[in-house]
Amino acid sequence: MLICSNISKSYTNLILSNLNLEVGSDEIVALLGPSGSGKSTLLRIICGLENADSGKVIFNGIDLKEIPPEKRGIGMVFQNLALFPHLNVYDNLKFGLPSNSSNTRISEILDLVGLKEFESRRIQNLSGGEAQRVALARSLIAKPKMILLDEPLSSLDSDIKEALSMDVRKMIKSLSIPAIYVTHDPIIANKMADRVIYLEDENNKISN
Amino acid sequence: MNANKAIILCLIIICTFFSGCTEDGNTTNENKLNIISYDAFGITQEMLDQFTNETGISVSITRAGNSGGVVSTAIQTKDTGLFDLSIGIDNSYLGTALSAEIFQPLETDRSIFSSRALTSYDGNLAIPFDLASVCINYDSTHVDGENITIPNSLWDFTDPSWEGKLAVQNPRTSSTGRSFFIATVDYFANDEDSQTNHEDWWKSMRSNNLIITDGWTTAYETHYSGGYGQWNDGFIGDAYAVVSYCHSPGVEAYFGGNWTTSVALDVEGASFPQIEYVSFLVGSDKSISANVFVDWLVSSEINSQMSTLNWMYPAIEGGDITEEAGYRWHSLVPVDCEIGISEINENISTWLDEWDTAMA
Amino acid sequence: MKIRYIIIIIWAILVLAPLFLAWSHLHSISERSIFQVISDFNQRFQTKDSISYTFLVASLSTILTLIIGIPLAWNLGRYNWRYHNILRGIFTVPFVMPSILVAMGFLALLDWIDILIEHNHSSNIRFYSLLFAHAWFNLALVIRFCEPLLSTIDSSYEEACRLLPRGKTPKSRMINFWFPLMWPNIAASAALVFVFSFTSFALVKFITPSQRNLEVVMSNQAEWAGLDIPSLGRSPSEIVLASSTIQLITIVTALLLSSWLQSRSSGHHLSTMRDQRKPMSFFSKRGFYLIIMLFFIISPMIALITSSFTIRENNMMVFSLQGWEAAFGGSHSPTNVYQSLFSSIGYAFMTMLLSLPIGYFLSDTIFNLEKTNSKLAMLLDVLVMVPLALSAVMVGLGVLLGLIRTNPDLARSWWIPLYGHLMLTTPFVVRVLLPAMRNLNPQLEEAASLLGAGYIKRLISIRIKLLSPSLIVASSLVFAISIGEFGASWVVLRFTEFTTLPVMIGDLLSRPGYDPILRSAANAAGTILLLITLILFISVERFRPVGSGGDF
Repeated sequence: MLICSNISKSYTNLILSNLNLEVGSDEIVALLGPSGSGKSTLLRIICGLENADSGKVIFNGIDLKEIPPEKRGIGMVFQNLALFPHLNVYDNLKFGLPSNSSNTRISEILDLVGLKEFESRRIQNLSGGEAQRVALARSLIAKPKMILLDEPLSSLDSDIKEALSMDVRKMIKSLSIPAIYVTHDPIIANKMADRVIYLEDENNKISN
Repeated sequence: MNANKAIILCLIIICTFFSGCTEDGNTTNENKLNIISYDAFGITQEMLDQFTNETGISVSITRAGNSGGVVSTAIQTKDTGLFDLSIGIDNSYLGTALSAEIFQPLETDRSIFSSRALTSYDGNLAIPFDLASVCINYDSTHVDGENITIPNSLWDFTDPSWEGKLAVQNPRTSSTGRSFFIATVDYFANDEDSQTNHEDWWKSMRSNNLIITDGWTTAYETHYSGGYGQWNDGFIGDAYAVVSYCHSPGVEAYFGGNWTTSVALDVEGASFPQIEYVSFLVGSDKSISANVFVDWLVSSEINSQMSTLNWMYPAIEGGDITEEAGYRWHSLVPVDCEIGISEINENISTWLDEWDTAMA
Repeated sequence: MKIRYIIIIIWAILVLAPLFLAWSHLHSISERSIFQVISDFNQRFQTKDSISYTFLVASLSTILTLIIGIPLAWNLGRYNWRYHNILRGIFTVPFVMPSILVAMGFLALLDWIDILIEHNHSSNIRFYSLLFAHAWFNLALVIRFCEPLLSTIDSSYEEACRLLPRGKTPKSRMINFWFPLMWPNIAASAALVFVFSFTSFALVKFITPSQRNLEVVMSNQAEWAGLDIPSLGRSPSEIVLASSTIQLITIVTALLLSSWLQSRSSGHHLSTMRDQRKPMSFFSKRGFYLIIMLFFIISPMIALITSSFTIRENNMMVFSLQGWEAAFGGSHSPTNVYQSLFSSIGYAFMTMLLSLPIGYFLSDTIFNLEKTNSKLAMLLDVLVMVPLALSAVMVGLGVLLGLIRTNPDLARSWWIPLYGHLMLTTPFVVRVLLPAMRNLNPQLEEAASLLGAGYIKRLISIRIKLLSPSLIVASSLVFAISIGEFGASWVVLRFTEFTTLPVMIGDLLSRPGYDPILRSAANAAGTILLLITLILFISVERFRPVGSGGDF
């Protein structure tokens, strides 16, 4: 379970102000909100890529403040996917695999995302949807305790987006881990999430 | 080549390089002499290797520019033991070096030297190894007595026919320039006209568009029309006369198949007797090796070759430049100016400052 | 983090310590203030007109370099030519050529021109030659600063411009679109061209021997600067102190300006990181222009190479291999080409091993500081570039003083000359790596971190791997500059055992040239150096990533 308690963050202006959020153990929460409302910032604070100015992030009873990102066990799919351009699909996935794990897991996860036979494909040669699946596979292969998705389908066509979002929900549910899904699209949010939260700009009000 | 092979190749190259560098500068090793020398020192590596084979003493030479560079480096590193011997300090700088007390005595027998070699200094702190006179050379193609009169006094160069046609070196940056400058001090102090001195001459020459270069090479190779410079890139050839050595025409003939248009100007007192010395430096404790090397340098076998090794006259008695290819025939042995190293040392700074202002 | 700060401190000490030693020593000897000495400059032959000449040459050289370089950068950046990488290598290799070779090449070229067009070798001809030599030398800066952006700018921007009223003609697009986009890059390159022209030494000394810039003035005073002896007077120390102060202030100002201008460059936001060049044939007006420029670049090199095969014999110039035999056999020098090339390569490798990690950490620090404290980043950037502004005389004096006061025996160490190599090459490592780091997607490392990769794994698997093309380019640059390094090695004592190829060439040239073999041997050794540098530079061009090298 994730508890964000009174999270505040500002750069030149206030982005997050005393935000409180809870996500259940195997709950998928969709986070909606206008641009600049702090959605991506919140995700970055949760996974440790940024520090909050004040407030706490507690995951499974542990305060994550002193824990660096690589040790939090939280996976993230970035908006631009951040697939390593110098590695092929296989090596991108292998990067997420703990060193003592079997490489057969790579084939399994590719099968799961519907990309069997894609192992030697270069990242530059993937379509948008294929790249998104690889990014998701990479974040899941490490068996994270929680997964964060920052508008990963934003660049895709709406019909592909819908189909893919259901696949994403299925994969996350199969792992029984909490997830936060940031999106602009209320239809997608409603379809794939257990709960939709709307993050407003003004004082970061949260409404369901 | 893959990355691993490239890394291994790099390591091999670096290790090979390192393996040649195991011996650091060990100044307490009596069998290794560290010498600070001017760039023009012509003793070949083969001769140095032969010296090492015969004596067991290895020699490492560090180049320091011209004669002035050797003096300044020797003074800068005084008492450090970084260098054992200096080669190339000439008598225009010797007074400065002696007053800086950078030399230790050598045991060389001075009776082997010609009287000319011992005129400026005959002590045991600086041993002469070669000498020559610095004077003006002119190109007989242009200075033929018809187009331009052959000068018989330095004042003749102030004539409009010589405008922009004499190249001299800056006495602050060139040892030949410095030598010639000192000669002019003495020349005009002793000429018939007691109303004028060297400063007046230099000012007149400045008004006559004297070409002043920073070094001998630029004056001789780039500007002088009568030398080998005409075969080099960047040759200008606008100077019909240049300050060089009185035996420079001989060297030209030596390489030019006994032919040259360059002639040394024979004007009494208008030349400087430059003598170059080897000295044992304070801070070194290798007196035995140092003396062995100096004795070798001034031995008949080596010193007699100075005319073709260093392009200078030998310092030893009976030594002369070779007659081969007209080398000796085209060279002039002039009547030099007479000015002592003490007088030079006491006044050179003031003279140069005045020159600097006059030439601006 | 800590390693980063240690590297910065080490770098600052390496750069500033010799400067401080030399400066304080000269200051202790000088009797007059710097202002008094400067006001006296035109009253003395040694220094007359040197300040004005330095600024004049630097300014005119900069203008000429831009006039020649901008069209060249445009044609290389906007159009794709056959053998494009080779062309780019050739056009940029002059920058790493040892300046003494460039001087030799241009002097040889002047003689060619003399055969075709008789001229009187007037000082004007020499002056113009000097400006062209500087332009030849520094073209690479304009190309490197401008071409990467030109080659990757998203074509849709210009297409959109063409449809708008203020962009309908090429001229209007140049004024309203291209110039506002490119001027920071052009101005930044101009500032650096000014720096290198200001501190030019060998070209000024050999091409215009009757004129002196501040660098030549300092070199002339080098022998006596720092010596406190009455018979030598104080003026050499005073002149070096004053000249180096003027030089340092001017250069640091130019470097600050260059750094600030680069930070203003917004072009990388419009860059697609994909090659946007259009194919172009040599059989076109642009192709003809490029061929002329190619000829301009290679003609001094060809002049140098042909000079190495000629020698004076019986008062005629004849074809001969004697120079080559003397160079390789070492008959006229303490070392031969093999030994000195080996020394050069050895020093180049070691320089590479040192300057790459130091340069990497300095680049990384500047890159990180740019996000939090841009002013400090700019200052650090200038500190990195300052060695290029320092006079070799001051550096040599400072190093010598430091060694004498600590351990004189170290002066003989083979690794002391590495100092000069390191100072001159590390700034270029930063110039290559810093823009490459700016172009890295930061989320790649963040993603790696979330996948459990610690700092070392992220550094090796992600960062270094993605930077590897730029590292290859930086390595070749370091190697090429180091192998041709002359100035700093010349000033710090020249010990025979470790004579590098450029020092061997300098040795041959510094002796009276009565013996024709000396010049020919110097040209032969110079040809070897030229060819090695050329091959290295051209072969590495293919590693240069598209759109990178915004600085170099």
